[in-house]
Amino acid sequence: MRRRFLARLLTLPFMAGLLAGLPGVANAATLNRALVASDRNIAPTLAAFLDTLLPRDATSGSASDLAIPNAILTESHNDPLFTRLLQVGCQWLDLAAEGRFADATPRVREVIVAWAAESDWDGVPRRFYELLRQRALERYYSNPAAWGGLPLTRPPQPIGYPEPWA
Amino acid sequence: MKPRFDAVVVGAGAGGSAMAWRLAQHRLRVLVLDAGPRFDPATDYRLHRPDWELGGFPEKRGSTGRYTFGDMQRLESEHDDLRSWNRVIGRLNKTERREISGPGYHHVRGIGGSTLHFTGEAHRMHPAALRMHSDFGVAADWPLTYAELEPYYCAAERLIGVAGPKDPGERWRSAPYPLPPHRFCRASSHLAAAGSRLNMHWTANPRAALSLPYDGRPACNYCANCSRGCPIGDKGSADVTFVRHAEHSGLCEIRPYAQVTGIETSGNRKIASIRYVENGKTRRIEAPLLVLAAGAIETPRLLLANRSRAYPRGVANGSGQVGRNLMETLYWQSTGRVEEQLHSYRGLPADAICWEFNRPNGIPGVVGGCRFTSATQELGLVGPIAYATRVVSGFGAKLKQGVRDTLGHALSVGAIGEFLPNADTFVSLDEKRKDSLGMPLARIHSRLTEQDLIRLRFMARTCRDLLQAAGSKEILEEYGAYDTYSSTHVFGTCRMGEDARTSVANAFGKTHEIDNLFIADASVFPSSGGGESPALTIQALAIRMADKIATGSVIPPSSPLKQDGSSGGAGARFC
Repeated sequence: MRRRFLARLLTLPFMAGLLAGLPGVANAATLNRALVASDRNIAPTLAAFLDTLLPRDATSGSASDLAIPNAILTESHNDPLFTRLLQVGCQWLDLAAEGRFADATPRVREVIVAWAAESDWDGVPRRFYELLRQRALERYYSNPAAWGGLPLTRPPQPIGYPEPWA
Repeated sequence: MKPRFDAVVVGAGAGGSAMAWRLAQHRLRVLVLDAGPRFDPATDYRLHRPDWELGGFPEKRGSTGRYTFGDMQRLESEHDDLRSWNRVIGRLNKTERREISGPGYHHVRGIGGSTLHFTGEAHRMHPAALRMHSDFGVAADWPLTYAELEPYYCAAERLIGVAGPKDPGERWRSAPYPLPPHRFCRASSHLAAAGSRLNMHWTANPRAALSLPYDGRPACNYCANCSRGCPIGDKGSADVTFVRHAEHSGLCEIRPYAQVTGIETSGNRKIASIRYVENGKTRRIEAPLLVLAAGAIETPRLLLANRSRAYPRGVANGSGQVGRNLMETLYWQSTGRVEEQLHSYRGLPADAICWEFNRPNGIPGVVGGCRFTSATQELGLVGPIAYATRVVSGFGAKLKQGVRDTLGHALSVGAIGEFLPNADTFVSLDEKRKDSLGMPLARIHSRLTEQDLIRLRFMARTCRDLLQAAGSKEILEEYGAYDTYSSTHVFGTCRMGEDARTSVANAFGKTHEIDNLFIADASVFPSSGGGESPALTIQALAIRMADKIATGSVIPPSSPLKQDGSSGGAGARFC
């Protein structure tokens, strides 16, 4: 189901549109510099967005507490399309916040993200929201630190769930 | 010089492994070639890792095939009630044409084949399902009876260690199941209680999963993740059952990463040899006996791809039936949420089944039946990622609390129904696209008929009614074959029959045109059944074929087990 969902989001026409304007790079060093610069630019916005999706609460940490933003940025280095989506999505967030999204109040951030969550399926805000939500949740709940308050406390093996069942 | 092997088997899945095991039991020297890898449960499966939920069955080099698809049919608004959707993203297919889901044909290549990722239901066909044409005027009759196949069901069940109920219902038996049934998990008990309020009788599903230690394998520990690969070996996949015993005989050699590309015939209705590619090298080996067991997509692909002057339509395809009569998985799943904490992330997947509508005339107004199972674990609703991405919408504190509040409360019902062959559902060769060895890819063509939609709508309505009776106030997710093509069970593309004009092989899998070529997979099924999982039937057929090949005879037909536990049939002595 996961792969099917991602395939639905990253349709070719949508991603082709995103590639327009992606700066060409001559070699690995140039690419690396471009990625680092890009990461530095968008990292605060991306972290704020992911922490809005997954805030800290009494039982488990935020996305940043579990290093999700860094992991997603690193993942994007292998995927120019994904890099582009992150850039454009974070630009949109900053525009919506009329400044830096990371500097907006939590309430304002929630309103912006809620708007993205209900916006047109074929638009950048919605695709950015859906894809980042999926990826963030997969990384988040793959970390035992996120399992606080859940009835599951360990992976299914090697113990399983032997009888008798409560 | 004597050939090195008496028999060459192509494909190490359900049929190929059962065939190899039985031939080796008869002291034949057997070579099994499979295009895919071996899997090592200790290192390849991920259920012990914190990120276990991230993938399905693991992929390794060569473990997945490639297929292309013909045009899928348009979706009509009158069938909007059959669209797939979930609470988080709404409709899953946002187009107006039926969509291929992932690879479309979900199949594992490797030692064990698709039994590696199967749930492990161990079903016998309903006796009436073998006479679809004579009794109901559809599909084709099987050229053998349930009684003739019954002793071989017993043989397969005994080798695997199938756990099943005392009362077999309409699938009469000449001997009890080797192992007692599994207890229902809490979710299935809840579903069964709801079913009884609707006069739906639920029973223990016969399972290739051990309820007790057996044959050196441990009992199931109910981790709820059969389809992700069983690391402890209680699941009766072919690698830990037939393959293990075949190799132990000392007469069976199994070679992974060996893809067969060519079938070479001699002039007198015989296969002479085959060509295969192993580690990049093309090899040829004599095949005094050749058994194809690569599945209902790959077996016809191999036959069709080997055209010659003698066989212009492909090997064994004088009838033109190779690739035709494809039957696919007609499925529906509904998931609801109940107030009670069911801990539905644990237990044996598909431990409970309702056969009420499985007979060919079981669904009003249409030929072809269906069956229902308790499906929560099988659908992967077993961990926080599934709940967060499929059950709980939104974001923020509400999302996190929603996952905590709902995990274990999902309750799913799944259904699989009969698929009747039609002229627009078949396998051909892709005219343009080839694999890395230059063989044309298989092209899958599919169309659902009005009769299929009647069955599908019955399945959907019954699932919804059952969830409502179970106390679900809200449906969270539905997924069905109307708008997505996603098949695991495929059948029929080299069907068996008595008439060489309308079938490819006889009742023993021997092709009509070539005397030493046999087919031992679900390609030979003349009908799909009312949703039965095919693995056990494939294995029973293969064992029967092997007896015929090796000895010229088979175990006589069985009789049902009597009340006193005895059987009047000769088959009982075997079981």
